[in-house]
Amino acid sequence: MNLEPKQIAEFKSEHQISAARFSSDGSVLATAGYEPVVRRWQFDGKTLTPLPSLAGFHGYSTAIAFQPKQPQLFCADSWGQLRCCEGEKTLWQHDTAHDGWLRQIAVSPDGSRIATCGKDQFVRVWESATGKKLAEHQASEDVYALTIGESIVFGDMRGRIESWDFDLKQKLRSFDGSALYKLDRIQDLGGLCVLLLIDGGKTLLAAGTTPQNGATPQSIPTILHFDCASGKLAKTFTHGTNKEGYIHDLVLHPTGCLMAVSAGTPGSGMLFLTNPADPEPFHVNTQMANCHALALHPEGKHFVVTSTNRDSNGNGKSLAKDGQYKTNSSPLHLFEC
Amino acid sequence: MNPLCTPRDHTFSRRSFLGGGLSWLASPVLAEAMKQKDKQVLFVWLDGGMSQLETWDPKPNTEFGGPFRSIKTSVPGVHFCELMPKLAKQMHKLCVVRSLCTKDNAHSSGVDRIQRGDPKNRGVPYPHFGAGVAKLLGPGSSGLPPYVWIKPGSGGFRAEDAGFLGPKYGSLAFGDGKPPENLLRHPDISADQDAARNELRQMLDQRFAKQREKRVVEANASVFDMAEKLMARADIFDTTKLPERDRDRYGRHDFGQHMLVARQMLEAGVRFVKVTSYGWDTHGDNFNAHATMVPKFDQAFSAMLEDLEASGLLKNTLVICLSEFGRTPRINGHVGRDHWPEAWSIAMAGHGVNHGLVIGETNARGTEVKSQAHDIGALFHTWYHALGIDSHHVEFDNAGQPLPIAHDDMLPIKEALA
Amino acid sequence: MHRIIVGLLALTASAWAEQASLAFSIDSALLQKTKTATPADDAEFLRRVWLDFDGGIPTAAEARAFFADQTPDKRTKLIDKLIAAPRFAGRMAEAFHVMLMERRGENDVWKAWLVACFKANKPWDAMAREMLAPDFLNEQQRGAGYFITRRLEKVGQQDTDYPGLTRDVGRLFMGIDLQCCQCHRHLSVDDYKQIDFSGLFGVFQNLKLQATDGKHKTPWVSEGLIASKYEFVSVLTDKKGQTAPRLPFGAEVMIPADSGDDAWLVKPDRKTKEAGQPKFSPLREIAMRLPAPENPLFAKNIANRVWWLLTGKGIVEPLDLHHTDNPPTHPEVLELLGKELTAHHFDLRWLIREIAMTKHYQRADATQRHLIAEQQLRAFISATGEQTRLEINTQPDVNVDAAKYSRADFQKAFAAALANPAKEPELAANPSLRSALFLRNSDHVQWALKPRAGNLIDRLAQQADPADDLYLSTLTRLPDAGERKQLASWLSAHATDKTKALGDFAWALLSSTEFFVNH
Repeated sequence: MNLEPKQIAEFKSEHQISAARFSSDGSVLATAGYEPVVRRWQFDGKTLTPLPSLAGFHGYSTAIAFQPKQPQLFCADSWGQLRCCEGEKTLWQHDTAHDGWLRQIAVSPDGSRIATCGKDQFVRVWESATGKKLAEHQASEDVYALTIGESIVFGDMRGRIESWDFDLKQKLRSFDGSALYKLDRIQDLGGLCVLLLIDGGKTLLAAGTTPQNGATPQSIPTILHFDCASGKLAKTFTHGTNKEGYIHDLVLHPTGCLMAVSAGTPGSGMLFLTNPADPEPFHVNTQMANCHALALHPEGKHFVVTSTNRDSNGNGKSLAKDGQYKTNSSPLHLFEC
Repeated sequence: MNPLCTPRDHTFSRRSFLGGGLSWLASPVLAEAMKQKDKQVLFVWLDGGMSQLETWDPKPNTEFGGPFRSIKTSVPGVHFCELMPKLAKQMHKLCVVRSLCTKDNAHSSGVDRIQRGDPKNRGVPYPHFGAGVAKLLGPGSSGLPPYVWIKPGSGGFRAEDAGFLGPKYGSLAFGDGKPPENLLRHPDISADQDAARNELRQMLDQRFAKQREKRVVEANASVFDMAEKLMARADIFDTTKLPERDRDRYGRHDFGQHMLVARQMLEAGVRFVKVTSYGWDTHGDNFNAHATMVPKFDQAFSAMLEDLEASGLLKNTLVICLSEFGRTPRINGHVGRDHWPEAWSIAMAGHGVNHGLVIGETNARGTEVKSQAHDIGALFHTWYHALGIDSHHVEFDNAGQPLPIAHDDMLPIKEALA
Repeated sequence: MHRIIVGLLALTASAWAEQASLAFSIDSALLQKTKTATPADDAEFLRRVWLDFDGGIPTAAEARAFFADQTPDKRTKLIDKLIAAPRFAGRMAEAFHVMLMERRGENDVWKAWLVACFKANKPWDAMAREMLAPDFLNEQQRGAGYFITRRLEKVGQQDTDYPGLTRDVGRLFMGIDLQCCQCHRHLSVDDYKQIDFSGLFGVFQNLKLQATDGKHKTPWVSEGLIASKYEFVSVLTDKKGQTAPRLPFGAEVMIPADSGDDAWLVKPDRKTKEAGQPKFSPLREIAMRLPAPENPLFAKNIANRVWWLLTGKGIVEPLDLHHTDNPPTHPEVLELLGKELTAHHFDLRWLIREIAMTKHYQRADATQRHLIAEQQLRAFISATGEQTRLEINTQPDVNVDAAKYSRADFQKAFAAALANPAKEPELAANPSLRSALFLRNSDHVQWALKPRAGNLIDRLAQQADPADDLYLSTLTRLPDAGERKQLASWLSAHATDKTKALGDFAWALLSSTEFFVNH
């Protein structure tokens, strides 16, 4: 029986959101975005009410990850800061966990460790409770995404994906995600956005986009399915035209279906749900202008899609009604399913 | 769907273009002193609109500043975006203008307006800066074509770049920086034979031209001449003979290799060398795009500055680097920045300009120019002055009609001139 | 007395016929603005009409024969002979191929269609209809479809260029360039509005390029359903508009009310891969209305283009920019040409002949005109005497000098060096660096100038005084005294290798402006 999500409410954030996650008990939604602040929202099943946000970041807040069974929140920014918080309290913090843009944080299934990756080409492993650095690995390229299952899997700008045993400092498996990469003139188009393990760790999904050309990118939303045991590419799933762009977020629903959001040319946003084995999604929603994050509530009955407002683009200096030049904003769409 | 909305038809009447473009017989209004052979120009064109916020005028940790940090440069108080570490070390050679404010936010018409100086509309197509320099300073002693363009894609001669100055001053483009086909003298022909029969051809053409329309004969003479000069300097194109170290320093990518060919051209004495890099129109994924492209630009442009200085050429070469506009502070739903002529930056170096200097400033958010704003016309005046040409008194001659070489009402940026 | 009267009547009749001819009217009209045209001499005339109507140049023998001919109306006879010859169709096909496809590609079926049209003297309106609404299942007509299908082929990752096709239909069939009206009104031409572009665009955007299949021997296009007007917005004013299929400056075509299954003649079916055929074909509507007497720009456009083809200057220039603020240089001539061509049912051969008969066309000191690569090739291989050899060598062999190249090789090399890049109209003689290097250094040119049994150099080497043959073969004229002297001293200066010297002198002639423009 396939899910049939329905939007039940909409909220607004004054700045654009790029990542969103619910806490392990589902009471708090945390969002990161185009500001040096991590925002938090209280969720009561029906509404999102702003909580005090976490300040003290720089550039953009970029990544959000909650402990799977505890309340701690890990967050990062584009200047390299990594922080662990409980509520508003900072438990530990590293200002330069990475040199520059820290892109993603993954938490191990047992919560004891986290891994981070970034533009400085490093993948680093930290003890969750203390922030102590446990291990690091230097890749050869900007590392775009990572996830943790039995091992740590990370992928770079060129779509080179690897799984590593950090204790043994050994590469376990390579996955060829180069379909998500293209060189156009002098632009390296890296289409990898999300890595996700499903089927109890048997299948690795690499989601993002298949780039066609650069500058104003034209690219097709894509999910590559890899068999973890062999490393082979088992399936390539695409949906939409080359205007639909990047799958920015991908989560697995407890019922087994995949939930994805994408953003392409301004106005081409999608939420779609698909069963991993199917060639086509069973549910597609194109009502939201550009979708960047999907936060699934742990009970599986609600989720939030964050997007960018309509008419977010425009050459020259278009002003708001009050004559001010403002940033774009992010609607938060609350769904029930 | 790619709309057709394109070029020049927006800015001038095509008929007048065809009418005015054949002024072969116009002689330059020019004092002898200005025909100084040594001065050259390197014009780096980043097509599409490079983001000033991710390069020359960073606003880290502000609402529009984006994710990147800024870094110190070799000039205290001046910072660049972290994506340009090499150029940061060479800021003392550069003159960065952060106060560009131009009129056209349309990509395709904007390119033309910027490259032609957006002067007052007189119903004729104005020449590219390169064509203007070729005309006013002459081709120089190298004998090579005066206005050369190194670009990805196709090559060929572009008469239209010369506007009303006439096809002779058009740009000669080398596609992918490669030599044109049939560049090398045919093995069956000796150098003497080649010279002798070409001389004969010239005499035959001169006979034909007597009492007849001369345009085609002159165009023919000019291309055969160009061909000969290029044949003599076929080595300029061969970057494979350059040391590996050079090819690595400039970067093993299109822009790097094209800049290397440009360096060869400058060393050979070509008057005006334009290098174009395409793909900067980042309406989507702006940050990742600049993260991969700016370092390559940084690498090649930096290597060029170093080499020009080391060879002594920087003293006599005016270096200009720009796009047709900058990019919006506001970020759209595709994580991109859109076109922004309101407040953007260019960089200069070399002959006639001050160095180690930032001119003008934008406000803290990057949403407007705080100091005196400069339109592209002011830059044309500045560049001509830097080359020793008094842009308010020297004029072009369009078949008897004197025309200003830059926008009548604008002035050079005094602080920029050495 | 009787004889005199008959004679007088005959004289009057022919004078009357002359006065009634279009050629005469054109000359009279032109005379208002320019002084009497001095006729070109035999040499210039001969070469000009050969290039224009044969596409090549006469041999030395043919030239000699023409110069020696004393018949008073030999020029008229020659024009008529060339127009009636089989080569005329080929020459016109080449010229129209370059004009209509602008070097987008080569296609044998398209070329064959063009040749057949000119051979049969198919009227231009019929040709236009076959290009605008091609019948892909008709063996004789499917070639015409290339005009559309080539332009709809996807290039890399670009979207299908419907705007480009729309623009070209306007440019090439009506002489209007609506490029800048896609997103807003034209900024510099008041006459051209966004609705003019949109009315056509809606029609062409409704086409879908299909691959060759069982029924269709070439790529073809299917039409979709148009049930409502095409909507457009001006990006400048945000004003919205809508239009049914519509000729620029014309009235909208009514869209029938049929909907759903009723609207289809043949319903589309995904399973059988049937693309479907709607009852209402906007393409056919446009194809009926555009090439019609009721659309005066249709006649004016082709008249202007044929005029340009034969004289090097359009009466309206640019050729695709007819509008109120871009008036014709001789409005009455254009008016006349348009009217008469329409009255003659768009008979191109008739128009071409009339223009060829004018004193204007036959004058001395004509505009130096561009020769397309095909003409330059034909002239080159004819002059060098390699025509036959190249045509025989269908299987070239690099190891055998005489069999080294085929005609196709030469065609390819000349096109690469001398043709414009795709989509750049070839309008005026424009020597390029590429052409100069080709002439100077290419293997093809050098090969043709080596002595080989029966070719130019071989023939000249056997003559004591090669001057006449050399000049007649290359420049279609006799050398003057100075030129004879020049050749003689050249040959004596390079006496050690006569064939090399002859080859070099011939090279100089063949690289000169006089050789590769039509003057």
